[in-house]
Amino acid sequence: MATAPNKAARILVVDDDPDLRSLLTLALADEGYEVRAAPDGRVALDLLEAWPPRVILLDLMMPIMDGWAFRARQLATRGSDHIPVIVFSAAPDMRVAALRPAAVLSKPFNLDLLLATVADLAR
Amino acid sequence: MISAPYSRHPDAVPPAQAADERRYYNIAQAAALLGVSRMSIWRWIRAGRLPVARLGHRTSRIRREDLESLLAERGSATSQPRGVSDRGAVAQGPNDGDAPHADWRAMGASAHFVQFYEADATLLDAVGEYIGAGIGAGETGIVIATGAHRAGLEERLRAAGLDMDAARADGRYVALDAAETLARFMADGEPEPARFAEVVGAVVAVAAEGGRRVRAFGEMVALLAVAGEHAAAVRLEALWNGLQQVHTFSLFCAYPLDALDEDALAMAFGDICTEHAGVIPAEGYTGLADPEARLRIIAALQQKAASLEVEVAARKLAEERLRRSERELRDFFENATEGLHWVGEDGRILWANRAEYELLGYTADEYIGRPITDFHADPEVIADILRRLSAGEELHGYEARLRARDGSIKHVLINSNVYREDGRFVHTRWFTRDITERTRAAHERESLLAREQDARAVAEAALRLRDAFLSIASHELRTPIATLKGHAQVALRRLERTGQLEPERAAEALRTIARQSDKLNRLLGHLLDISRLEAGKLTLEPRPTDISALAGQVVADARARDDRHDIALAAPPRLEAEIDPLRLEQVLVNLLDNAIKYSPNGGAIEVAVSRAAADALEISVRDRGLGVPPEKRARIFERFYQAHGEGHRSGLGLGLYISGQIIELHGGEIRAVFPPDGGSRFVVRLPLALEMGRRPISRARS
Repeated sequence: MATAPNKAARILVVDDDPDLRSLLTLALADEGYEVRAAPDGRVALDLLEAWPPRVILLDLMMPIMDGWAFRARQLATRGSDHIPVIVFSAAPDMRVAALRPAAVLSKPFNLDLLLATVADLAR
Repeated sequence: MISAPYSRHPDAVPPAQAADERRYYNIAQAAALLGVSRMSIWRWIRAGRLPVARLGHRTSRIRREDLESLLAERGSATSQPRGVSDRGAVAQGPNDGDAPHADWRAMGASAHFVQFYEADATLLDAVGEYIGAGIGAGETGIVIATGAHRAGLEERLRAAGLDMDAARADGRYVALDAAETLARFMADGEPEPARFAEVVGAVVAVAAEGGRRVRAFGEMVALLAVAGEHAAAVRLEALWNGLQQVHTFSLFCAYPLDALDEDALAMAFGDICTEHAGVIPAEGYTGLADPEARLRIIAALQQKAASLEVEVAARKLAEERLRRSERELRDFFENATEGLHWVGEDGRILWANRAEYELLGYTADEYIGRPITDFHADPEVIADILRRLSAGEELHGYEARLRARDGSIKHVLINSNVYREDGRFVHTRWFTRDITERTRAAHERESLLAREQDARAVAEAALRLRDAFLSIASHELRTPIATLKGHAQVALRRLERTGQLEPERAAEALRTIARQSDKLNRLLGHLLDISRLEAGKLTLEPRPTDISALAGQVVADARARDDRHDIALAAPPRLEAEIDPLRLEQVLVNLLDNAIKYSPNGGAIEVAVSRAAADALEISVRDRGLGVPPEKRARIFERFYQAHGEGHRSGLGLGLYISGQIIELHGGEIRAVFPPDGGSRFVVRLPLALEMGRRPISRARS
């Protein structure tokens, strides 16, 4: 299994589904991470400035600003373009690959796999 | 008597020898045998009364038997052959033999003779001498002639020293205009005997007063003959003959030879000759001094006549063959099954066969003579065809459309080329083949194919829609499952790791699991509904229900689920209607969920229940969220329709469709309006008492 993660690492969860947000927040917090959640890309961008995370968990289908738009803005921003992104996608394909994610997880996801991936990236 | 000239001719046999042993006679011999002139023999042959085996000057063959039978006929006949009279037949001068030098001098006192002339001058000389001699001898001269001839004649008489004025005064010279005189006794194109006697007879009677001899020169018959009135001319001749029975006078008639050129006139010639007692040939003959020469002329003429007859017969045969060939060709063209026509340089139709104009439903008159462009449906096509033909092109299988009389279109293939004579354009030949049926069949096939392709496209679109729906559905169904599983997993991990699970955590996890299970249940319910609706098996179980209470329940549940929105309810204390409560709840939940989903920034949501009419109620749900883009508003109640596309999809896209169906099954209607200040307002109208079977169409109105 994973080695002990950096317990102070910040994780940003971006997803419009409140239940999923709460699930991920709980799961990651239980692992010892510091977690914040945003319901859409715009809120997430705002958070990015004030609270740069170690890893971003990004849903693609969101209102207001979706995952694609968020990623584009993130990559264009000097201070945040290096932050790795784990993308949730129901159907991973070429377009998703174009986002250059650090990892792609399909929905519904395997919790253990997700936690392991986060651990890898947060190191 | 017959004399020496015959010794020149191979067939000649002195009549004294073997006259009775001959089997065949030539014309001269026949004449001798019968004691008549050769002219008479000739006339009988022409009249068909004497058959001849061969006809020619030297080679005529008349059978003895035929001569004998004719002889016998003549002997027994009481009337003589027409025109042959005893009044000095062919006058003969001394030593003239069979080729007499004939002129008027030899005519008897009461002769009726005709002179053919080629030149007016010759005629006038002869008539001048004739009349002049008469007047000089104390006789009366009557001249019925054209104005020009009268003038020419009087000139000559004067030149000969006659005092014309005195003669006229004495009544010894009477000059009348031929046409005028003719008109006085003609009736309906025929000379009238009684009037002739009155008019002409009177003149002759006066001229013969006192026993004077009369010489008359007449051109009236000639006028009739030249005018083509042959029958009338011959009748007039007969009338003159008749007059000569009554009065004694000699009559000199004259005919211009060039007026007797044609066939019909040639026949009349024969008639005229038979009418007249004496015939003076034209100056080509009379101008010859030598009897031998004159005989030769006769021979040559006979020969010419014979060969002409043969030629005429051959020509008639050729003409008949030509006519038949023409008939056959014409029949072929007229009745050919392909349209054939000619078009002239100016674009007019010169000729067309039946197939051509009947193809278009016209008669020949309506088609031939009209411009070809009148019948083509596409002006640029016919213009191109005409252009190419002018440039000398030959066209094969050129497609065109023609307009028939009844306005319908005929498709044709045209083959056409130019007919030239000596390099000169005469007309264009056109062959038209009707391919309307073929074209129609081809078009039908094409349209059938197109319809099939359309149908296939529609089917494929429907399949794609269903596939898209299925993939969305599977995603949407999996998501709540994932979530509730996730929460269960997280709680379990905590429990396993720390040995305990805080009650709040447990409660939260369980609440979430419950919520997601509900959602899943709802989605599955939608799927089931949809399949029931498709099968026509969605049934309502209506019963009296308090709508206000129902609405209150739905609103309370929504408030519990959602904290971002301000959900208000306005309803009367109680409002009862006959509805299926479960289904109506489903609709209200759907509308409220949509309101929440589609106003992500929070805001107020207003639910209102009211009595709309004596027999109807209304429920409305108003949000201040995203609304629906105008171009999509017409379709939001459709199956699978997602108004906001992929960026904001939620659920299966079935909610509004199913809600719409449920409301319609209740006999109500649902509509969406989009207020100018944003958001959406969905209005449900229901009858208070359910009337089954009424299914109005639900509409979205912007």
